[in-house]
Amino acid sequence: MVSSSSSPSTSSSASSASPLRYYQRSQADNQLLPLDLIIQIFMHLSQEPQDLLNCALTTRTWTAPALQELYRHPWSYLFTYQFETEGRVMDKTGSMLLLRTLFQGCMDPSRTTLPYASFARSINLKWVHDTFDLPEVDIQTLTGFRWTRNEAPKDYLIRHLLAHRPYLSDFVHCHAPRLPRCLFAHMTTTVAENNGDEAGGINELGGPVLPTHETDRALTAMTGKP
Amino acid sequence: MTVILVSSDNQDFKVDKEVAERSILIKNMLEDVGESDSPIPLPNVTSAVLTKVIEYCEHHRNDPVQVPEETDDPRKRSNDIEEWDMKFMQVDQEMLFEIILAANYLDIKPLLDVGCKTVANIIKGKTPEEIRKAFNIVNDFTPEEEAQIKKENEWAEDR
Repeated sequence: MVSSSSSPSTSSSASSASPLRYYQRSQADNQLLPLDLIIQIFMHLSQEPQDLLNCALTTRTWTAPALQELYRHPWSYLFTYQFETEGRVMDKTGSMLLLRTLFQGCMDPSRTTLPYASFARSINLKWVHDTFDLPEVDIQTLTGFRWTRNEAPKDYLIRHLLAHRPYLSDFVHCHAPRLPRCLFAHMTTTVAENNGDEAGGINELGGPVLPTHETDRALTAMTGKP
Repeated sequence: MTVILVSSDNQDFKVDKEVAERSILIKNMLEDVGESDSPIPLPNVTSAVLTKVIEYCEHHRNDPVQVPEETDDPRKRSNDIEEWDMKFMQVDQEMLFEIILAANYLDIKPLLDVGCKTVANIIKGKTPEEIRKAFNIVNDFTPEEEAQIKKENEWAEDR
């Protein structure tokens, strides 16, 4: 385990020390800048997954903030756009590797360096379904467990991803091309009911949920109720 | 109208109010105090850094004030740095970090942004070892930790 999120011991603006002294003093423990500023720098790398990973591997102090940025919308890095066919193409190998990491983190957080699934600020339901449904995927190998039902590991992962997101509003922006937008409204309301106060401002987006097969299936996955 | 700013090493800087108010900290201070000639002490900023910061604020004195919604999330902003700012940021690394710290303390968002982008640009395309070299950082990972992080995040390689 990497000792993560080591908070800066001194905040430059609060202490009476000059920035210069802060800079010199903190060289010893690899703290170039206070953690909140490091986080801001990594935000500018949000389009560069390889750079974020390199930052995570630079020093322990950077591991948590860099990987938090990387896992905000991890699936967004796994699609390439092909304009000739007007479609998004999912990277299969990358998707399977990401799914494995997310799943391991859900099943047993002590097995992964950081609780990756809890960093996600959106959830791409289509990605979860499509990745699990890949013919190359052997669910038992990938998850390390035996399941009686194909949908069960999907449900498990989706429920985990939903349980850990503190910012409901971000979920309105999730990408799931084939699912209607009102589903997300329903989804956020459902989650909101479970989480009480966090619900502010989400309900107004609510609308009737279309009783299509697709939504039923996804809703089952999210609420655990048929 | 001019304002007097005092750096941590007790140097006075006389600047136009309009320029000083690029700093939200100073702007709020002036609003709280009202009409007053008393100098504003900035105990967190040295004269060398304050000179640079004032240079930036002078150049950007006529910029429109940014709408908060646009500035809230750096991810949604462009990564381009305008030419003048790029030249302005060509300083040694110590000064670069000090400008970032000062911009953060004085609450000058656009300057903080340019500083963070500049650091991000230094990081881009470098291996962890090259990043450590660039910032004089010591490798504090055990080989096992490094291997595990690599394995867990293999999916992000080469993207």
